[in-house]
Amino acid sequence: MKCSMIPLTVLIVSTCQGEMMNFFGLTDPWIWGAYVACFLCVALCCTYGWITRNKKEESEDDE
Amino acid sequence: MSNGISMEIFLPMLAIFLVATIALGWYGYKNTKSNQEYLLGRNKSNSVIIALSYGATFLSASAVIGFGGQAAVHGMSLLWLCFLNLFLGLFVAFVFFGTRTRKIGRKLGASTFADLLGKIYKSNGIRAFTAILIIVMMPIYCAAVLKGGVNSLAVITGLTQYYDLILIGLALIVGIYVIYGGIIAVMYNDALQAGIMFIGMAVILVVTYTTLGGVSAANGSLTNLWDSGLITGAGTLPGFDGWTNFSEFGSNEWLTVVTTFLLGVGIGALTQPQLVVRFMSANDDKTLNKSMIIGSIFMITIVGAAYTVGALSNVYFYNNYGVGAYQYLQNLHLGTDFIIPEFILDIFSTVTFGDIFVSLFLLSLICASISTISALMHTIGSAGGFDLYTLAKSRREKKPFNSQSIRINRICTMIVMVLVVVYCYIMPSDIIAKATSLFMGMTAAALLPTFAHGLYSKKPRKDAAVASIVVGTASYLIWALFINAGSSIFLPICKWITGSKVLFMNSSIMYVDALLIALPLSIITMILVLMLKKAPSKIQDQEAETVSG
Repeated sequence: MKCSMIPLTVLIVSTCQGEMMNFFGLTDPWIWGAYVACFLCVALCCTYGWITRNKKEESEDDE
Repeated sequence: MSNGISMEIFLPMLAIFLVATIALGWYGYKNTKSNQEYLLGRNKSNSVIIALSYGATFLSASAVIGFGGQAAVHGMSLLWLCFLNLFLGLFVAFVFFGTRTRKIGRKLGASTFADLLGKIYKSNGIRAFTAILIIVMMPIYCAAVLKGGVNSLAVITGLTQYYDLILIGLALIVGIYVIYGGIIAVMYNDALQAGIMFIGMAVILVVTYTTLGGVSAANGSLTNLWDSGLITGAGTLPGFDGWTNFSEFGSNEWLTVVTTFLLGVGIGALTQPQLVVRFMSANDDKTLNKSMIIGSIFMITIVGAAYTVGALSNVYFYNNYGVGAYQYLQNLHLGTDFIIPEFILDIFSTVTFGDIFVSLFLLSLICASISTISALMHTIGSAGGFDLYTLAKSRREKKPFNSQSIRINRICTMIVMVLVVVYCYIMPSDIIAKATSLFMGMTAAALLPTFAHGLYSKKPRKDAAVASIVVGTASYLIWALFINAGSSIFLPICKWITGSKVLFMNSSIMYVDALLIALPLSIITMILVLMLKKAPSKIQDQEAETVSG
């Protein structure tokens, strides 16, 4: 099979082997996935915090 | 090995820091007029203070030194703990627990975590149990954090011969500002310390990657260390597959990393009494929501940097000394808790203005330690001086009583300070991460279902809460003391009785953390009681219908 490489400095997908994904020098998806999950979580916290920064308070009686 | 830092640089930095700490302690003292202000300090909190205080309290020297050292041994799989800290410890904690805790806490007039649970369930027993759990278990965690700070300070300054003096000095500094300044001094100092920690850890991450040739090159080198068999996974268990690979599923290594380090601390964060108080200190939900922005950026920087740098220290030590981090420290007769301090000292010795950065890092570690210790001391002191004192006096006088005595709180905090120092001397070495996991796991197993039920149920059931607490606590203690090899060292009852460290030696089960067993049991117990036993009010209604019918 002809091998074609995508020349990205950050993300290298080796299509010839079909399983090598190099993310900043990390190849195990369970490891780089942890980094991705961390950044997504920060994005989630920041987005939620920003959207609800002026949210009207629910009535205390609701509890 | 480097011979300590430049005292000419570090001492002036430390002096400025101490002056600021004392000034904030004084500010707290001047603004603490009532016991409510001593316990919650609502009038002086805002989103930035809450975010930084929450983050700095959550992430102690235990996270940087203890878990950073564990990352050097077990690798980057610990980054999942960073994710759990962010997702469970911040997002879920604030969105699903924080706002309800704040509202219910304010509605019921609760001042502490034990007080909150006691008032939700209208149970002095639950309040007393929670307070006793805090008083008995939290000093272990507090002592672990204190040891982390002192270890760093002693190694980096090269003053290991003054270990005792540093330990007592650090405890005294924290104790004094907590005793006099209360929660306001604790939170404002947390914010100052968080700022220093943030700068310190960010600098270390950048310097580490720069020294090792960039992000991809450094990570690639770490992968290569294992793949090429250049160094072995010393200090790990069977199933370890290199620092940039997750360990083999179900192996002893996997069980230790996932159940003890990831789940124990990840889930345990939700029921941390010192963090719950931060929610109750907020004036409104908006303050809590806004806190998440700063809190998340702070947390990923501190924890992400610590775990990444910890794992990468292997590359540095191999390049310079031909051995991995664990082996290098073993050669110096030091354990995993010293890996990060030693690495920082060594890597900055080759960098321009390295002394300034090392001093900054050391200061940030001191900050990480004392921000958490102060919050823990305040929480333990409040559990004794407010919760137990209130309950004891109510019982003696046979009428409801709510302690308003700041003095009693201060006396209790002082006793706690002494107790924590004593704990430091009787605790085994290399225990920071495990002690943290033990405390967090124990509180989660005992209190998480009760806390969640109390917050979300319209009519919280005391019988279900008590059953869940009893089963969660008993199962956690039995597993931790008799089955799990990591936690049984704290109180070797199994060895005293059977002569063996744990009941099932040479079995994978000895690597399973108690939380993995105790928390599901605690949840199942609560659900079963809720389903099988009808609420007292319903039974009374049905009896009334039968009588009238």
